[in-house]
Amino acid sequence: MDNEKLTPSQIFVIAVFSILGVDILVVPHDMVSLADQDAWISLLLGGVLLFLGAIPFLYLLNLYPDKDLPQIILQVAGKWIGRILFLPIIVFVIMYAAMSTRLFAQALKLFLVDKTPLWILVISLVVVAAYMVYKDVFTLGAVLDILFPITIVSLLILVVLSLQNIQLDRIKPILFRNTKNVIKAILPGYYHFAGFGAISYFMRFVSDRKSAYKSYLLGLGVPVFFYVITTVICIMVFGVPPLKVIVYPTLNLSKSIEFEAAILDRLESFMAVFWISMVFSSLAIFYYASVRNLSEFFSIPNQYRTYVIWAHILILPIIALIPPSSIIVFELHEKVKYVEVLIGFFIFPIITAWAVIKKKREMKQ
Amino acid sequence: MLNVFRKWFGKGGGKKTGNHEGQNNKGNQQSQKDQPIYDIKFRNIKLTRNLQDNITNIKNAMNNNFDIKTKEFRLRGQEMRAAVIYIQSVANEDTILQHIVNPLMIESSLIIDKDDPILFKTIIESMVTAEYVKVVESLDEIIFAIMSGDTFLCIQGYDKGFIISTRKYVGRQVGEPILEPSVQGSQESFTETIKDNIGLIRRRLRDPNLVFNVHKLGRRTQSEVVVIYIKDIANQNIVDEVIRRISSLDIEGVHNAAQLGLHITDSPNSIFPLFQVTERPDRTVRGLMEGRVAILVEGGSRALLVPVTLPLQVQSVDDYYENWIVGSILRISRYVGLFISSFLPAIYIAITSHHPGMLPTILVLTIAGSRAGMPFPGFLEAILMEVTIAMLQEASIRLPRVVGQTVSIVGGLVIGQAAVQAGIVGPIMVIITALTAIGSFTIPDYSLSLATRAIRIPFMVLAATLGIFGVSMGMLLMLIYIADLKSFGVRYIRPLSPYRSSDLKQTLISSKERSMVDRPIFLNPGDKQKQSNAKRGDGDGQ
Repeated sequence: MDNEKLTPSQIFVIAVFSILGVDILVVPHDMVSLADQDAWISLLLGGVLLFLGAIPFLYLLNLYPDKDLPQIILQVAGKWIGRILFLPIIVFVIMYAAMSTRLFAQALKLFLVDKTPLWILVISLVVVAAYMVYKDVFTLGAVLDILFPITIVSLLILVVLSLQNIQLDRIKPILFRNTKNVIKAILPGYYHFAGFGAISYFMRFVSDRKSAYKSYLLGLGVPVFFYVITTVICIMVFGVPPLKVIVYPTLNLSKSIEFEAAILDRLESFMAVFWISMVFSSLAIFYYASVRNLSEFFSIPNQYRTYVIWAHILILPIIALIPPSSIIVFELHEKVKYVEVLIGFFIFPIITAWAVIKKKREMKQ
Repeated sequence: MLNVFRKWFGKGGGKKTGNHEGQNNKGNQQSQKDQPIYDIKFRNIKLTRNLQDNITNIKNAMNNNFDIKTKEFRLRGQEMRAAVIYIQSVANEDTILQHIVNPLMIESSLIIDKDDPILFKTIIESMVTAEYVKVVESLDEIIFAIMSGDTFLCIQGYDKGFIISTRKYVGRQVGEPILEPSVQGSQESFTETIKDNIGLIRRRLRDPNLVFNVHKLGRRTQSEVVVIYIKDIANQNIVDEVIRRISSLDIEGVHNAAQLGLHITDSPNSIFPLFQVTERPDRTVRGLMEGRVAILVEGGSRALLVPVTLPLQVQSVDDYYENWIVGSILRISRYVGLFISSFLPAIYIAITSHHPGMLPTILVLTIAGSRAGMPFPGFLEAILMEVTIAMLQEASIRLPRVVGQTVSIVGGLVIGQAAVQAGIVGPIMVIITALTAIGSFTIPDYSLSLATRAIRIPFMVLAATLGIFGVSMGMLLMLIYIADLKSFGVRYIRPLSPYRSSDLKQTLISSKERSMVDRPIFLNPGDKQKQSNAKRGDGDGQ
């Protein structure tokens, strides 16, 4: 029909994919390096922090129901200050999209297509995502709806199959002379849930706002669950010292699984294939967000939106392919997360407070 | 004061007439565009009072073809001359003699006194016994009626005439469905006569809300196109859209539902069929009850069902006649068939040539062993087999049935056995190709099954170049493409997305017929409930 809307179930899926992405490949390694066997506790607390950040954010979105994030910021903070506050978000979204593409392409090269050059992988991912964004938001919602069960089922299979290899004592001792590290690692744990703000680009298309908010919060729970459970299982399967060395522990986890029937000898290749859809989904969301960002930042009218999409086909692979080695990619991927702190702890609160004051003033008048 | 009044009045009046004229002009243009070509020529020619002139005019308009028959006679044996004009090949001559000529010439003398004049009204009301009579005066109507098989009755001294229905089309009997056979379903299929087809639907659906909306389409063919829907179920927006698209068509001719479908489809470039063509009356009725719109075309033995979505095309009528568990298994096996038929060769090529590690070691060794000494790479082998199968399928459709056996012998023996023995194609490739073909045969919708053939080769190319990564990228591209398609405003992918468990239960898998209380809502039906929600007894407890 003409007045198509996103349903709450689609908001749920978008919320899941805005966080669940390439990070699941590296979360156990990153967290264990910081907090040893208690890494999952920090991650869980980071998840709590995520919800604490998401609820005021929803409040901000509720103040401007028919606008998305760039429009809200420019409306609240004005043309110039708004653009300055907006700049870190633009950088974050582009960098996040580019770095996760690069990270995943590296993982693919390692585990699936060792002979294909990196740039082909990056460019094909970006081009397919561009095609996705070129279609409308509702098509995006429909595609993510289809990809969602594939991703979740493959993750669940991995979790269930890994259970045969776990050794419970590897996770002990819990919180023994380690509390300081655990608390220190909460913030890095929270970084891994970056991207919860991506929902702001889709909320204005929603049919039923009340239940959309509920399904958004519910959707945030899914990645928290999977990140924590993969970390726990990785710790229990590999133990802490090897985890500090393994770069892609989640893929290695699937490598460690052996079927007695030997139907699938190399589960990690299959997992890599299934996770293409996962990484693609989060890339598509951030691609869309970035297109919206740049269009609003440069006040590009809607009929030239296509050119912004084309421009991203150039920008994203260039940024993704600039880092010469994979170590730099990991570092950059970490540094992008610091921008997230700036956004999550400074920009969003400022904008929210500003918006509330502005609305109250309008009410008085 | 007067000035103001005049100003207001004049302005208002002028505006009004201007608008009116505009509308009129528009209307004229519109009707001129839609009219068939002979209409424009003949609309302004009226009948004259001279019988002979009228006959010559009409015959000339139809190029004096040999099968245009005229019979002149005198009413009740009196001075009053009359004539019937009809086309021998499409009119029923028995009816003409029995119900028009006979009553007018002979039987009328029994009713009316010799001296009474015969009035125009008496002829319709008490003489002609045919089923339908209409008074006409302009040539375009007359010619269209004669062309359709009706008879024109003209009387000396009147500038009006009668059109009397005497159509008789040569057609076949209701036959068995050939393209969509079913085990438990009815064994009737549509014929080429629209009247019979409507009867087949009416018999199954005695609902006064069943609406038949008749259009004439085709500049030259002037075929009847009937849009059918159930008024309180079908979504009015969809119905309006269908009618709008059909009435805005300006084409030379239409003789088939599928051809009409291609004209009114949302995206003509889509390889996936965005309309459903069916030859089964029971499936059409089922579609109508789901809130869809059916379109019948005169001369075509298929019905067009719109809107359609991918899961609906994978359904078959048999699903509803089996227990829901069995029905779901049947339906899932068809989804597997759809997947295999589209992607199996590509996945095989990708795994064997790029990622042999993904298979169990023993299987890899077997494949490698069987492929030892093969001259072509896997990709070429697959293309070779694909082309062969495509040709075989096409040949078995085109070949006359008398020699049809040859194809299966040549295909089975030569392609299967000999190619492997000669060492051109590996045995596993033959298995893959056979599986692919079988998979494509499980798809109930013929056009959808052809679509899988069209996407197979691009996927094989992707597999050969980028391996399984290329196949996944291709699948994502195709998914986006499918998700974007719309059939009359309804997304082709619904109800797979957005999720709604009751819709999914009825479409993706099969569900208990008893528990399906609500209609699938993805077509936005008016009357939402199918049956009463009350618990049913376990039989005739009373």
